[in-house]
Amino acid sequence: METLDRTLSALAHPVRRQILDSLMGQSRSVTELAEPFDMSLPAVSMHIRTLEKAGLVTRGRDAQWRPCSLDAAPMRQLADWLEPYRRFWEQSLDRLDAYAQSLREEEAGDGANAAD
Amino acid sequence: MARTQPTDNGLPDDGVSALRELVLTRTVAMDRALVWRLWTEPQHLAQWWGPHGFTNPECSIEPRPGGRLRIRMRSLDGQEYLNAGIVQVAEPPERLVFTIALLNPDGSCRLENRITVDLIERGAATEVTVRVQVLQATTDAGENLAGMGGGWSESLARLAEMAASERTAR
Repeated sequence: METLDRTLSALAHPVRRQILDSLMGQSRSVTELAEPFDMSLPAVSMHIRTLEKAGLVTRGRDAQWRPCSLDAAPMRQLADWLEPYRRFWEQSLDRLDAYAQSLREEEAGDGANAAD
Repeated sequence: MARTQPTDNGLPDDGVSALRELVLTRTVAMDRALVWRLWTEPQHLAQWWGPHGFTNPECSIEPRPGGRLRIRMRSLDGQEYLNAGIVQVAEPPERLVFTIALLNPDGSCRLENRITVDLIERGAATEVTVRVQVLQATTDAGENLAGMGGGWSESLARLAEMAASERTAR
């Protein structure tokens, strides 16, 4: 649950979501990541640190510019958490549809009775 | 039903935002004004809310901003689950937005979600789109609810604020 909390908090900010999006499929330096944003480098670094703490981003050790890369494991966990809710709503919508149909049939039945 | 397909790294191909939400769409052969009533009148809502086999012995909804939603679901084997939330938007017959926490029998809660329901006219039928967004995982919200109402409404007020600020940030 703690991991999930951290993942959700990390994903709660649009800047951090955009950073993660731009890390899909490639590593990038902090400078590269900061480019699209109208904010200071330290501000972007703070967001990256939040993502690091949540385990969503890892920093390279070798290169001097310590490239950032994406670690998708926590987000896959989030997708697993969502699965029961998908089932809940799929089945609820099934039932909504069936209930609407039963109401229609009832109404049609009433109509037939009225015609008798 | 639209569902995001995962790419080979296990992530949706339309970005990380998609991981926090699910979107389901269903077309119901019924007039939109009536579908709205199925969502917002307790005697109707109780007939279909929840997974297959569940009944809803207690169901109430106040379809206005700040109104409460409270549904006690019962599974086939008699387990009861409380669903509680707050209505944020009610624009008949088009849009209903509410927060909802699905609580386990022991009062614990996994995630709180915001549900956005959009009803679109498709001739004589209605397209129902349900968007499920994860607001926050809360370990203590369930305990609050099991114990006393106060903590729970505080938690929901916090959630509503969070949701509002998130919308502004976008």
